[in-house]
Amino acid sequence: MSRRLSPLAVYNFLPKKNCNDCGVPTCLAFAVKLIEGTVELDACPHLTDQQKYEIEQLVLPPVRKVIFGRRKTVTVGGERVLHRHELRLHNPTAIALDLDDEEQDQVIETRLQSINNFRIERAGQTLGIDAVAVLSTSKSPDRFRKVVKTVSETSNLPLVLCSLSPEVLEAGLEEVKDDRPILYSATAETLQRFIELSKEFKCPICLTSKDLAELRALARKAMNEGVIILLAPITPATNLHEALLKLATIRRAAIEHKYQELGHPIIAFPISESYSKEERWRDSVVASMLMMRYADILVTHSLEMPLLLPVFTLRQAIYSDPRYPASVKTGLYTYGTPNSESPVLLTTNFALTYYLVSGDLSAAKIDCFLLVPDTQGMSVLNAVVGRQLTSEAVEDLIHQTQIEEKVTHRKLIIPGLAARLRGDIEDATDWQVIVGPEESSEIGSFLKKTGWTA
Amino acid sequence: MVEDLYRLLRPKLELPSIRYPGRISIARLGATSQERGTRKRSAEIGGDIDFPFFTLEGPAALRPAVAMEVFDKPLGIPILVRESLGSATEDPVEWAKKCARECPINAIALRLVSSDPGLDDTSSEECARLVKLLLEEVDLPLIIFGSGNDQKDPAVLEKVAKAAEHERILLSAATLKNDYERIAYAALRYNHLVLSRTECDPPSQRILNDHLLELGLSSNQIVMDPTTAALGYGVEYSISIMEQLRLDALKGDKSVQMPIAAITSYTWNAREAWSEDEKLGPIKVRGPLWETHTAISLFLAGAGLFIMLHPDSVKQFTKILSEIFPKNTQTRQDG
Repeated sequence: MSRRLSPLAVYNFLPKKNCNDCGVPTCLAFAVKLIEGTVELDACPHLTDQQKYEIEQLVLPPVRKVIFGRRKTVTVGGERVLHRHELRLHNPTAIALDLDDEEQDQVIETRLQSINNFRIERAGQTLGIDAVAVLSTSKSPDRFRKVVKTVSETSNLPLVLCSLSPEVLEAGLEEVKDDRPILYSATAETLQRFIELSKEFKCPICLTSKDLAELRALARKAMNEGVIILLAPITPATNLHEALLKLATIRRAAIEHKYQELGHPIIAFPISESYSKEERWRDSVVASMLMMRYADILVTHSLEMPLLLPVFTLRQAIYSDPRYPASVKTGLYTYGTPNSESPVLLTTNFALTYYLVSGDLSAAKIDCFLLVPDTQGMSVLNAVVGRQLTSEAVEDLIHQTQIEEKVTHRKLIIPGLAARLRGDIEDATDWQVIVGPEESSEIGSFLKKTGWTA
Repeated sequence: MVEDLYRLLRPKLELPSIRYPGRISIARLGATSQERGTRKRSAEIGGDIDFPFFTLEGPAALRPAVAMEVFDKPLGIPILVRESLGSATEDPVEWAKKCARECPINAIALRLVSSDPGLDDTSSEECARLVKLLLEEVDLPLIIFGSGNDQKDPAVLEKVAKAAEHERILLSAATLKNDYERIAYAALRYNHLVLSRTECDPPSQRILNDHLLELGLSSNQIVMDPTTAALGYGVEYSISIMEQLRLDALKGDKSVQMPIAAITSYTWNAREAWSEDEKLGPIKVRGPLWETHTAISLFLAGAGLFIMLHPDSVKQFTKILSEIFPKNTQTRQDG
């Protein structure tokens, strides 16, 4: 129900020269992009400070952006909508791993190595851990200082320094003076000290309160002081029901009701208080739920691949841009261990089509090659009608991928929905075209039924 | 200073209340003896006035219902599921009984795989006999899937509907490509519900629902299946389509005010759910968790009926649901 800002309202403050100095052909188009958050206001060199101020008031995202870290930086927040289909979600939830300062030095170093080396390869992206959250379990400023020093020497990742005590945090901060860590977390009692630390070390602070009205008051105070803040409305002890309710309430208040005090990124800790091996799946599921319901930073504990992989995968999914058809890389993909006699199939680079075909080929355990032409993210039927999938495209791809050197036969299986391209492809290449099923789930039985032989 | 401000502001955060004009209808699966059925209890889904956790009254109007899938022929069952359930997967009735006994579920979903003309082409009569047997052997509400064959399904579902008269089973599925009229009439005549299935396309969903409504089905007799894509294989499409349908429904679009089903068993096609690749971590943890993640993301997007496959996924998902819905029953919290 949020009222969308009209581009014309922003346009009124722009120079209206259509000079293209910002890289966008017209001022109106620039206004649209400002509202979407896809260009920065500074891109326009012709604005007075007053105009800038007016526009900022209009286009500032209802959830403020927070950037932390130095050698590596992470941006969180900057969100404008509650549901991705309304525009898109901008800055993916940062996934931070906790590091307990009470652990022995050796354990800490090993864990840091594991955090640094953790990698997930998925859909053409290489993903890693985004940040390290150092927890002052020992409550000792000296110990905290030492561990923070170790972390900053071992890792480039941005930090979240966690303690309720300003003294402990200050000890740690002195080791990472210019690194812009996040301080977690201020309460009503300590806010004043945190504000001072934030000003001295130029770092964002988190605000904690169980009560949303108090949280709002704390935020107002910090904002008046010009401090950059994040909200920490829940702790690991908060029950899941209450946690999700609070996060949804805060985000809705920020986006739909324009409560500026609640328009800041949210940090959450999906870590079970009692960590038993049988229940370890729970942290993973809770992390995903908190992410879906607007947590901008998740501090979690387990580095186990099967627990993190689904969380990273879901993040990749919900932060993809729904306005453009998702596409995969053009080229040749292999399944199983194909040889020179294995079937060669064709699909499109529309992500959903590709993933379905890919999943079905894998599920059917077929050893084969899959040709993926650039259909500009169109599905098979649309690409045939829209002429993104043509015999020329197929011919080019056959050459580019050098598939003719990989197989001895010249038989191409095309999607049933692309049947009409059969003749054209046969004319353009010296390949024989076999029209496959319309549904990729039937490829397995299709190959069996037709008794694939090269 | 902060205390002063806090006192100046109201002590409790009061948000302007958002009351959408629309409300999701309630579909009741399974009829008890009160309605001339034989189910021990019904499963109610829907009733929402907002997205989960968006109202302060509760996470959702009703706790989602969870069904488990059984196949009439042990074909294409993921290895992990077979390992978990053992020999029970060889017989649909044993499979269903085991699920009902060991998992906290609200319904059984029977998939008549073998009725596919390309497979055994099991006759509609034979399918109906199996449904009848299942009704005698388990007391949970039933969801009956055809094989997905557009020509055969309506005939199969019609016979099944007749054999299960008054039981309020969910006939799955009416699509724009099959003879949905025949399925709708069977539901009307024998007192059942219809799953309205479209492929990732809200406008088609609206059209199909409208057709079903025009044929005389009430909104309470329809459950939508706007396609479940697995985590990592397009789940974001399912999430956005469900959120879009839900938002339209809340804003008053009566064509899409039905509860939504998520068929997370499709998750098992995802490579991550079955691949032995050790780089991805032990499959025994990864597989079920993949289905659980798909389920929880679609729950938050608004789905109210979950048709699942792996017992561990069901246990994980229902454990989370129990945490969120403190009352363990499917009680309605009116808004």
